[in-house]
Amino acid sequence: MSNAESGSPEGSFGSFGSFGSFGSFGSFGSFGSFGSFGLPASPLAAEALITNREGIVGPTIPFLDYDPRPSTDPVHGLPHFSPAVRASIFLFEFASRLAVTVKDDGETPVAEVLSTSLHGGPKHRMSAEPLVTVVAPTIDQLREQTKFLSAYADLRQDRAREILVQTSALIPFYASILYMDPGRTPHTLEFLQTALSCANMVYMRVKYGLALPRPLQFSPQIQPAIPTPTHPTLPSGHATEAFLLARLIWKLRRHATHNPDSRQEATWGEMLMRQASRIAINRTVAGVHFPVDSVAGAILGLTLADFIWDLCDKTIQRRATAEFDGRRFPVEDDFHWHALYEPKDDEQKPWAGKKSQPWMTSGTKKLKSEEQGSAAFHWLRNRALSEWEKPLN
Amino acid sequence: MQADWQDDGDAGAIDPVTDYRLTRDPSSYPRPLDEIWWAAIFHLEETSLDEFRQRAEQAHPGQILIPDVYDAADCAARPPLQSVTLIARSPVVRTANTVGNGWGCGGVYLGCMVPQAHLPLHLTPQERERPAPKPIKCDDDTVVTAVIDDAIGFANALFRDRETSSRVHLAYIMSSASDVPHRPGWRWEVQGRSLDKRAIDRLLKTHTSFGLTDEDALYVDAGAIDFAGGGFSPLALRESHGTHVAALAAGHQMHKAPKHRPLLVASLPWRVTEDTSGFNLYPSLLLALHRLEREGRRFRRSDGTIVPMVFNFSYGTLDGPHDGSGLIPRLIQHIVDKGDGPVRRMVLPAGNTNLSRTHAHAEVGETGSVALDLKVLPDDRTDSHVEMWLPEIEHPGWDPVHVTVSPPGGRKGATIVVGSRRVHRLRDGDGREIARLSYAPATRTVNRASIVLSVNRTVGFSGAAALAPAGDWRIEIWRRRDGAAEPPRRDQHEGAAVEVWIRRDDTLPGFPPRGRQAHFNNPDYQKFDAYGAPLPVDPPGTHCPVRRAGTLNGLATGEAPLVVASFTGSNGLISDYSASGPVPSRKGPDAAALGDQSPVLRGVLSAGSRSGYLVRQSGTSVAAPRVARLAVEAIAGDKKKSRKKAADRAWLHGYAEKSDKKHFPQPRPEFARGGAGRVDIPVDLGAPDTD
Repeated sequence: MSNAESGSPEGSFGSFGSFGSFGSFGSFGSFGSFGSFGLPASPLAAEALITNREGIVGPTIPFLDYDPRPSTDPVHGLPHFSPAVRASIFLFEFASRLAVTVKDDGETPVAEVLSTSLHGGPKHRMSAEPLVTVVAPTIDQLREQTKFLSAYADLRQDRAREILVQTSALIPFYASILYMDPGRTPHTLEFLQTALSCANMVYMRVKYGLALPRPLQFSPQIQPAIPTPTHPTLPSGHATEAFLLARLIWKLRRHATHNPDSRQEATWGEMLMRQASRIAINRTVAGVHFPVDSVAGAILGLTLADFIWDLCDKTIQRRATAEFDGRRFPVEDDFHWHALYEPKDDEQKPWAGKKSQPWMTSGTKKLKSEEQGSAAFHWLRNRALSEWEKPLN
Repeated sequence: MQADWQDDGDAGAIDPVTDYRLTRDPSSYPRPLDEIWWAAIFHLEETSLDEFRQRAEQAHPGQILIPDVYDAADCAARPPLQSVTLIARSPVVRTANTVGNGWGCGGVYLGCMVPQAHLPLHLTPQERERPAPKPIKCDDDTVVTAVIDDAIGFANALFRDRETSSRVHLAYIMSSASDVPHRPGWRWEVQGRSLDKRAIDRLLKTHTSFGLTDEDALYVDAGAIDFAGGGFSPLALRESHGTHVAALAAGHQMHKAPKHRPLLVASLPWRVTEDTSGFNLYPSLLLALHRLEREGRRFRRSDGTIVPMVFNFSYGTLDGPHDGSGLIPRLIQHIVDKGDGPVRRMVLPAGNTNLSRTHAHAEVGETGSVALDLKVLPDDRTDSHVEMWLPEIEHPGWDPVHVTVSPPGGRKGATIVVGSRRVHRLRDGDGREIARLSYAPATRTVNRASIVLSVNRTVGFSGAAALAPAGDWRIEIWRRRDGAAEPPRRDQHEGAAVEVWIRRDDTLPGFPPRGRQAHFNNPDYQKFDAYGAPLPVDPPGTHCPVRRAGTLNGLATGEAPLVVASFTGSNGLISDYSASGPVPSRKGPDAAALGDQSPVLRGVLSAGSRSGYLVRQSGTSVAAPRVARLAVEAIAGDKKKSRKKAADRAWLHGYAEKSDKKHFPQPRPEFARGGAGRVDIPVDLGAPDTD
């Protein structure tokens, strides 16, 4: 999980180290030192290389004939890059296909996350289509939702350890459901970390645009169990990440398994979503989020999961969209993930709330003309999937 | 702090503690006092419920609710005395508790505050109408288990026989809105709501996907958890007392679920957090008992007779005279022992207060005095009450008992004498009452007279809170201070004692701490043995009035209940905390069951709030349900058709004696601590047998 305070690729890569701080995954933390092969990071290394060269280089040999012909497909270079370098590439691939606008009509702000595509031709036209729209709830609605925080605070005695661990590490909880580990599934983990970094950029931008206040700003009695992060409250970053992870892991498993539609299969998906829900609700227990923040975050995370998955295709033929209208969300309602998503068929529910005035709608549409997916993401997903395929004998 | 006692004469109140609780400073109540609804027990003398309701309605319209556990026949009945739980507002309680009220009421025992949302006030008469419950035909072998406790996770897999089929036939949720949607099997109750098996099964179906039940969502849907209500939902925590106890009494793994063992559960109201009296659940307990007993009568054998029922109520308290005549023991007796009626048994824990220094045995005999140092703690958010029960038989030649109470700081004490209805109030420098000393005569419900010391809470947020001083209060119980002119006479009343108990403050596990237990701090109380371990029995020949003997659960002192102490599995010793007899009506508990695995591994494993894991809890609370489990099977296995004596006390004594000799290291613990013996009752909830 990305350090909530940084959006840079190094920051997100650095979190591999935090993954390493989680007990048995410690060996993976040493990835951070891979850049230097375990050489000491000091002037000693350079000096050693310099004097060593003097010792063995010998007189200059005129041109040796070597013509490394680069492949025309840059994807072939990806396996040779360090994960940190790949991270930069993936992040740009993702960010360059998105735009965010925030409108404020004076009533409530509306953030639109748009997917963009660049059309070929000399004019380099770009077009944009809505991906996720978030209409902010009103301040009065948030104030009403503070009612939930007092009862949820009673759960702090139960959840304190989870809350603390989940401030920096989410993936280990999913790894306790489906077998993931740096030694066993390194590219899956890279895929998930990449997705987290991508999502971080999006939800931070939306939070920034909507600028909604945190629970403790409404009452001196919230007294959260952890410091309230400095970014605004909606959508919940944890909810976004939790549901993004759950859905992507579920997609990986469904894709790899023999029988994706069996009843037993659906139990795995159900459990992954329960995990996501627990992570999201723990933030309300901690006193740093309203239930509605988790609703918005979950919708964003689920839709981004679909978007990222589609981006991994060679050509994209469909686009998922969702809209969350916070103004219509009933203040007495709590966060219930079942209203948003059905794991059996990996589908978001088409609407939630009142049918005539839903607070959520979602759907997928066929694209008029195919778009190019991201070759780099395609490579990454393939590598990840290869870690899930049943072995050939 | 300047605090002075004043003799305020006759308060004109029947039950002094009820009067005290209704006269605290306004900051003690979450709302204006007159708006508050209470659950309370009204003692009606030669007055029917119908008559009483009429009179109360006339004086205070719309301020009283009669629970519908009392049907038309109950409401018309006019026995010499009946004690009924009603829900009423403060003005009604006040009037009914006044001497000479003219309503036919002989006093009110005040329970807890009831939030208005939990009452069916808004229901129209049509909405309140419901058809009489139909009988449930069941196997002749059927025995019903009824568990009353705090939050009980009725949807736990250990109470199901199939994924979406519950063995719970009624879940009475007392802390929930009384406003129920029109769903089959849901019923509003006077306090809260109930769900029958139909409703529970529907909830299970709705909230189960692919083998996983979302129990959080289910309990929110049922109203058993309310995150928006601002209150405390114990079922939201990973551990709850009620679920643990219910699983020991009647939990079975789904694939081993027994047939013909239906379960009825009642979850008592959670504490109303602003109630600073140290709240009292007894009126709600009686409602729950009545409700479950009535529901139990629906279960009929093929010949139409009502099947037997075993209740488990794992609460221990110190209130009452402990001679079987106390209000709750009498009412338990009435419900349980119906003579010709169907078989009902009640299992209660012995209590965990053996070492709590909350009981004193003040032998004031013919002359003499006994001094008690009462330590009232700082940061005690609830009032404290000390009940001093006078001997039942007083020798005609003896001087009456006097009690003198001095607050900390050496101020003068107040003295009250038995028989006097005068109330003494301790007032602080601002003239606000912070403690009260009052006398209550014996009544038709209670055989003994008592003197009660009520002390305000010692901490409060509001500047307007009238706080009592924390520290050492001195209670002196005496007859004559000067030496007797003649030598003391020895007759059968020698050693008549005043039995003193400090009311227990029921802070359940998981609840935020509210009260802090006042206790006796006499310097000659020996806490430890020669090795520094807590001494579980009074030193022989002790002169210290503070005793372990006699700490037995005040609820459990009637004839009928099966009272269970706790022992430690690894060494067979009775747990140090397990409360002891004798009390005036009992030598000790009836038997002992497993309460702790070992001296360092406390507690036993049983269900957590949600399905799929077990948690440890300790105490006589967890020992009792094992005996309930045993009693159910003993009744079912009893070959005599009437089963009149099945699993009664005599049977349990015989069973425990045999079991103790056969399975446990000898010698047997003394009766006052362990009853007739230790019983070994396996409970299979899926964990490896760790008995």
